[in-house]
Amino acid sequence: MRSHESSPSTDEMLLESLRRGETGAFERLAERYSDRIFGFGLKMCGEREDALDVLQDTLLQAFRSIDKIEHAAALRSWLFRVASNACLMKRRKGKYEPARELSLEELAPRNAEEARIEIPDPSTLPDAGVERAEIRRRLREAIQQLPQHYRVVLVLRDLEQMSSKQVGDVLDLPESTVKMRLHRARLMLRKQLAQYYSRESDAV
Amino acid sequence: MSHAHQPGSEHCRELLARLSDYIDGELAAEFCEQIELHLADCPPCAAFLSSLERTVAWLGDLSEESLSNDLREDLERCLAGIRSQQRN
Repeated sequence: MRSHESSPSTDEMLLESLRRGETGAFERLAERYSDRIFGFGLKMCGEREDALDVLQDTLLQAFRSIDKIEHAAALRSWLFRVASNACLMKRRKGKYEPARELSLEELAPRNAEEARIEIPDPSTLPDAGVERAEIRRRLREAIQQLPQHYRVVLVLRDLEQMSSKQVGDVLDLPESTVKMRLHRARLMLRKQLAQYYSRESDAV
Repeated sequence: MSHAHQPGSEHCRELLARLSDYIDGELAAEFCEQIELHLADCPPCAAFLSSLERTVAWLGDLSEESLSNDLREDLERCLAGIRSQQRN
């Protein structure tokens, strides 16, 4: 059911059916995109109820505003733009979070010892192992702690596997800003994982 | 061009700024070459790059995680609710 890449011809047919108000068109939109939008909402918001609200808002808005989508190639970006905005609105209710850009100095290792902390290679760990589950859990938590203007870029780029250009289209940002925020988000996550492994090695 | 330096030097900071572009294969060849020369001479930066590459690999691992059965049930319930709203 989950489709990683949008197929232009299928999106074109889908958009045409939605515009004509054909029976079953909404079903096909939901079937095609609901897994990804729900998964995106979960990664962005961290709560299933919020992710379900995001999915519902996105699909209903798509149904109501389908005429605003000019061509099929823009359908996926449009859906993720609506979903991103819905996620950001959810989190706006939380604590005040400045949208400033962090300096690289704040994210750089303070010394050679900190730079050398090893993080395991995921391909070397068993699929259903405890360590893999623990790292995934810590990573999900760390993603939730990212400032939201970094989190949305990282989730679209590294978890939804969009290109920097596509992320820029979704968020209406220059590609250079996408890359700058992505890099800082990754450095923050690397720091969290490194802190975990640093404590683990101290405990041995 | 000499690459002798102390860890945390200007060379290291310049490299840090470009590491994601390097990992993603989006860096011009001349910068890749500079980075590789630096890494050969700076074990802390080489180790840091490796840990950042693995962080990105873990994100790739997380992206492949599928919805659990109970999440899928929630999703189906939500879709059924939206469908009934559409019909009314």
